Parts: sequence; C-alpha cells; structure tokens
Amino acid sequence: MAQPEAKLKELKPAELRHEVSARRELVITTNRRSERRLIAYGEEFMFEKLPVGTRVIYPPPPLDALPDPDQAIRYALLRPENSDPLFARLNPNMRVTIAIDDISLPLPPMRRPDIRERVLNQMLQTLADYGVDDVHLIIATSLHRRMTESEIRRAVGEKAFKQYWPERLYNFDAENRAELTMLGKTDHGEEVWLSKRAAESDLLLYVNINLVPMDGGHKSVAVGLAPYQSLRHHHNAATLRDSHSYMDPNHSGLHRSASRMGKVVNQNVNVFTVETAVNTRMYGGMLDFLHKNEDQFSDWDRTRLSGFRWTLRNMSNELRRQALHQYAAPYGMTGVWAGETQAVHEKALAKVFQQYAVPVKGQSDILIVGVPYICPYNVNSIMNPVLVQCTGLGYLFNMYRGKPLVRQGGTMIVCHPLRDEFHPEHHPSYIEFFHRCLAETTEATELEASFEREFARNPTYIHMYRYGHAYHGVHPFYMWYWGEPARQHVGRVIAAGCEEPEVAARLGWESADTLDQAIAMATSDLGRSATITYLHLPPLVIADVE
Amino acid sequence: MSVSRNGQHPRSARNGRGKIRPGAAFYDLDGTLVDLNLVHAALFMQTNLGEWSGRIGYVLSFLARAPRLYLAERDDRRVLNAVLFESLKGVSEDRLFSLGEEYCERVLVKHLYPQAIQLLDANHTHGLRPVLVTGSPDFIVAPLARHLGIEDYAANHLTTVGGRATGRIAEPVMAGEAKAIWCEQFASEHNLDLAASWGYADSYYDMPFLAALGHPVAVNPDRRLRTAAVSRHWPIIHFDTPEAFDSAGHEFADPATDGRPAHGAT
Repeated sequence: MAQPEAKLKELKPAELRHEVSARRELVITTNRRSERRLIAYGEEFMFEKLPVGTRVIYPPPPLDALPDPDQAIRYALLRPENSDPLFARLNPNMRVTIAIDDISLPLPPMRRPDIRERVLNQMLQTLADYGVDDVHLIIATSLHRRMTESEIRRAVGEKAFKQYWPERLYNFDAENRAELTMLGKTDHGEEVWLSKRAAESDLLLYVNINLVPMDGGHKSVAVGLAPYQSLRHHHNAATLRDSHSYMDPNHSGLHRSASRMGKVVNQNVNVFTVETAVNTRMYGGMLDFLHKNEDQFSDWDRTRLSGFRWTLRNMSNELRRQALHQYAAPYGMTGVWAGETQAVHEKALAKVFQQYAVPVKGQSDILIVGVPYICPYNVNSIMNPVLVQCTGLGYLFNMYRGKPLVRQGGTMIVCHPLRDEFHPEHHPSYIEFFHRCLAETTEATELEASFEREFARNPTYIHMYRYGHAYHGVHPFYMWYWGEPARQHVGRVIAAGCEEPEVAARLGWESADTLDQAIAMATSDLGRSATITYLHLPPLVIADVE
Repeated sequence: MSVSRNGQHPRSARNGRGKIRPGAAFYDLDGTLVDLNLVHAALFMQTNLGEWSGRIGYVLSFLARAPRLYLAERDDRRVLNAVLFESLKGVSEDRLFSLGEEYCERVLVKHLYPQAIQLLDANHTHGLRPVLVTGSPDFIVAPLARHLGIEDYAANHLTTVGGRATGRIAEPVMAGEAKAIWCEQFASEHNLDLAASWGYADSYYDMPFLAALGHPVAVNPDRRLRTAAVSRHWPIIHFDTPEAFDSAGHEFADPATDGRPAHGAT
C-alpha cells in the first residue's frame, strides 16, 4: 500500500532520530517561497511570515518510547546504578518516604497512566512484598502551590491514592516548622533544610520526571523538599546570573549550589533516586501538525491549523483556558534509571540531551520566541505577566548550551498578548509584586534587598500557601530572578502582539502591536543585515550553539 | 535592562519626621472570622429575652420582618442592620451587654474559624495592629474583642434613652462606606499607614472598606465579591475549607529567626 505523501516526507527526519550530529537539517533558513511560521502566542497561535534569511530552529523528532515501560521500571529497580537493588535495601521495620515531582512536570501534564503512577505502583508493591508498612508519599512542591486532591489522584493513580490519601499521601509544607529539620551546611555556608519526615526516614525514594536537562539530580530532593531557608542560597540574583545556562548543569550556578546541598542531603539521608525521561511527543492526534516544519504542511495540516486557530480565537477566555489546560500530552517514556543520585542523573541527562540537542552555528542579533499558554507554574491557572517574563527570559532564552542564541546586547522578541491578568488564589503575591514592587524597580538585586524578605514572611501569603493553593509569597521574586541572565545579556526585549503596552513597560520591555512591527523596531538600529533566529516551539529544543 | 523608578524605600509610608508608619490589619467579623452572621446574633438575642411568652412575641415580630430583611440584605446593608435590631427596643442596656457576653461565650467563640485566628495571631506577631470593623453591635463585639486580645474595634451602637434601647442604631451605621471612613480616621489618629494595612472581609457590601486599604483580601467571598476581587486583582482566601488546615501542623515559622524553626540539628 502506497504511503501518503506527507508520511513519506516524515521518513527523513525519522532517520535522524538517534544522531544528534545529523540534525543540522532541523535548522532552516527562510526564503521568499517559505511558508508562514507557527508561533506560540499565549492561548492562541500566530501564523506569520518571517523575513527572508531568518534562521528557524526546529525541535528534533521524538525518540522512540520504551515498548514496555513497566518492565523497564522493574529492571531499573532490580539493576540500579551504584546501588543495591531496591528490595535488598528493605527490611520490615524501616521507615520509608517516597517523594515525587509535583504538577510542574511534565508540561502539558501527560496522559494517564502518568510516569509517577507507573513507578509508584512498582515501588509500593516491592515495599509491600518486603513487609514495609511505614510509608509516606510526599509531593515535593517546595514553594509551589499545593496540588489539589484531583491533581494528586491523577498523578499517583487510583491504587496509591486510595491506599495513602490523605494521611500518608500529602503535599510538602515548607512553612510547617515542626516538620522541618536542618541537616547542616555546605562548604559554601549554605544551610540545608529538609522535610523532617524525609530526613528521619531509613530510606528516601525520589520519583522524578526529566522534561528538560535542568530537572532532576540533586535538585530533586535538595529543592523539592526544602523550605525558603535553603532555597534563598541559590534562588537569588547573584547565583542565577552565574548560570550559563539553566539547561547546562555543568555551567549553572543554580545547579552547582543544588549539588552541594544534595551532597549534604545524601551524607545524612539514605537516598534512592529514580529518574525518568520523556520524548518530545507533546501534541498528537489532530494536533500533531504543531510539531511539523510548516514548509512540509499538507493541505490537511493547513486545514487543521486554520480550524484550530479559528476555534481558539472564537472561544471565551475562560473556556479557551479550560480547554487548553485539559489537554494531556501523549509523552512516551524514553528511559528510566534508579540508584545513586549522581550516577542516575548522568544517564538521564545523556538521554535528555539526545532528545533535545540541535547543533547551531553562531549567534544572531535578534531572537524570536513565542510564549505558550503553559509554564511550570500555571498548570490549571493563568499565565500572568511575571510568568510570561519567566518563560520568555528565564526558560526560552536559556534553551542553549555553549552560547545564547542571541548575541550580547541583541534583541529578544517575545510573542505574547501580555494581559494584566492574575489568578487570585494561585498567585496572590504575584499581584502585589507586579503592581507594587515592579512599579518601583525592575532591578533584581534591589527587589531582593527591598522586598524579598517581607514577602517571604508575609502571614497572609504564608497562610494561602499552606492552606489554600497559592504559590509561596516569595515565588514571584524567584520568577523574576530567573530572567536575570537574559536581562544581563540582551539589550532590548520587545513584546510582539502586546495588547496592554503598560504591562510590557512595567516589565521593562518595549511593545509592538504585531510581530512585523517588533522586527522593524529591532532592526531599526541594526539595519537590514541584522540576523534573526526563531526558536520554533512546541515541543522543546536545546540549541548547541557553536 | 533594569529600571529603577524611585529611589525611595517603598515598603511603608513615612510621616513628617521621617519615621516609617506601621500598618494595621482590619477584620470584618461575620462570615470572615466567624461562620455566623448578624441574623443569627439577632435571633439569639430575641430567643433569650424575657419569659417564654415574651420570646414567642419577639420571634414572631422577627419573622414578620423577614421580607424586609431579605430585601435589605439584597439592597442595603445599612437597612439590614437597622431592621435587625429595631426589635430590641425597650431592652435594658445592661441586659444587652450580659446577653452579648453570653452569646460570645456560648456561640461565637465556638464558631471562630481556626484558620482565621491563626492568621490574626500571625499578623499581630508580624507587627500589624489588629482592628475589628464590623456591623455587629458593640455588646457582642466587645467581649469577642477581649477574647481575641484585640484592643480596637468599630461596631454598631444601639442608642438608649433612660438606660433602655430605642431600637435605633447610632449614626454612622457601620456598613459600606462608613467602615472605610472609620478606617481612615482611625489610621490618621493612630499614625497608621493605610497603604501598608491589610483588610479582610467576605461581602460585596465591604467593597468600599476593602478598597480603602492597601492590601485588600476577599475572605470566603460571596459571588459578587469574588467577581469584583478577580477583576481588581485582590487575593482570595478561604477559611471555610478546614481539610487542609486539619491535616497540617499549625505552627508558623518564627519571623524573628527569619523563619527558621527553633529546633533541628545544626
């Protein structure tokens, strides 16, 4: 039976799957005949013609998913890295805590069964087989919002939920002083605080999902189960400025600090880590055209794109948001490793880079990125302006190894409508941060010195974090610091398609009604010879910039 | 890339002598700190006045006012307060205060939201002076304020003639804008900074009160207040969801030690 033409076109990228060095074809340069490009634009998508000569970087096609993930998990638990098998470390009288990644991973949330559910089911069965009864499951939220009951049920699965919720399955609480303990200090004087339950357990198991290379490793336990007292040592302007980039742990001040802390944790606590990696199959079925090179669009792809954009455009804001956040990604698990934290993380990192890395030659004057409807901190919530800043300057700018995609002093164009919208229950302190603190200064060190402690210790924000579903009072500061390397590096940031210019101004950005206008503004002082790069999302890509 | 817009320290306003003025925490009472409302208090009063025959009379009189109460609740909180307590006409002031004490001890204290009390204590420890601003009558609010350790409150006062209630509330009736005006006067008299002050209320009628403060918070908001809070970017907090509170430890980290727990191996 003959293959449809579109299928034949897909065969070529499929051949590239496991060869990072052969991915140069994922970097294309537009010409006069090039198709318009799809650009994430908040809860909608732009479809815009880019100037001739624009370099577009596409994500690699998804790696093959493991054919039998459950068997792979079983194998990992039986044959761990630098560790005895899980069963060999168990005895019936021991106290075990299992910590798991929260709702910030993966993005969008994955279709059921979630990887966490698969790993937990096998872990809990092993623990039961060896008579271990004293087991607690903690969602490693750190200063993120508490997950709701239904979100937890979805992540851990029915079996674990019914057995452990709510007495032995709960969110971490970084403000419950009775449940925190200090393990010691690193050689840099960083205080290492941890969940008391985890610290006093005979065995601490951590179940992680690596979506991008900045996840996992020592960051899992030392951050996920830690309070403000620990986080302030690396979530600050100075440390984050020293990160080049977050996606390159070997050159990231944040990861160096987390590693130092993680080592203190591992000296005091018996940690057994399980890390997993997923492929880039973010959108499937009727939305799989979102992954494609637009030059290879079939008529069916164009029809679906038109229908998709029309539907999004004509939905109410509330309905559109709900519909988008209900979408679950058909991610496939590409690997699972268990055992000693560092050994496990190195293997996981190699797989993650194998999935995302694309070699790119040189920097450009202008970098265009589209900020989508979702980031790690607004699942089932609103992408407020501070989070747009974090996603654009914090995450998308940092999708590189080696050098940033944009040159020092260059211009970043961030496509997003930038509305003055906040979720009053999830992001209460963001509101005050945006309207009060950013009105005074956008300088991260000034914000840190003048306001951070006040927000971190604010009783109302602490209350909403502990008993509601609010991010911790200090969280918007971290989101701001997250954009610090980009703010130090680029000369201008222009919000393209900005609906509320005063919001862009509050962030210290310029605004443009359209992408064309933004490009004209960016090239006005650089001339027509300015080089432009567009980082094509979704899914995700990390540029190895030579 | 960064912009410094104002060199002045923004956290608190300064008075003429350059000292930083502190803020306060203003709390509404009914529906905010307690899960009861004024109607419940009025009913308690009327069912505990006089002998059985008298009580029946009071309750019938209360029921006769029900349609007016409904309309008042819908349209004007000032009218609601007035209608609720006009049936107390002729009751001695002493009796009202003793009934207020009894209502506070037997009913109100048991209906305080534990989360609210914890937040009130935490705000106090944090340096925010606690103030009650409520439409409840002073003979109920005074014992409750004592119970909570709150020195300052604004409440409605029933006028008396010859030691007996006239059934009328003294002006200004503590509702709507009157609450906001009272807060401004109180802040001015006590050299407090309203911009650094927090306000907590549950009802749409408290909009002027909340809007007068630098940090308004909608607590267990009704539908209309919730809508307004969302559009005005006011945080929304729930004291009426006890599940999370019951399952958590209730000690706040100590601000004096930068939030560090007092214990733990070092």
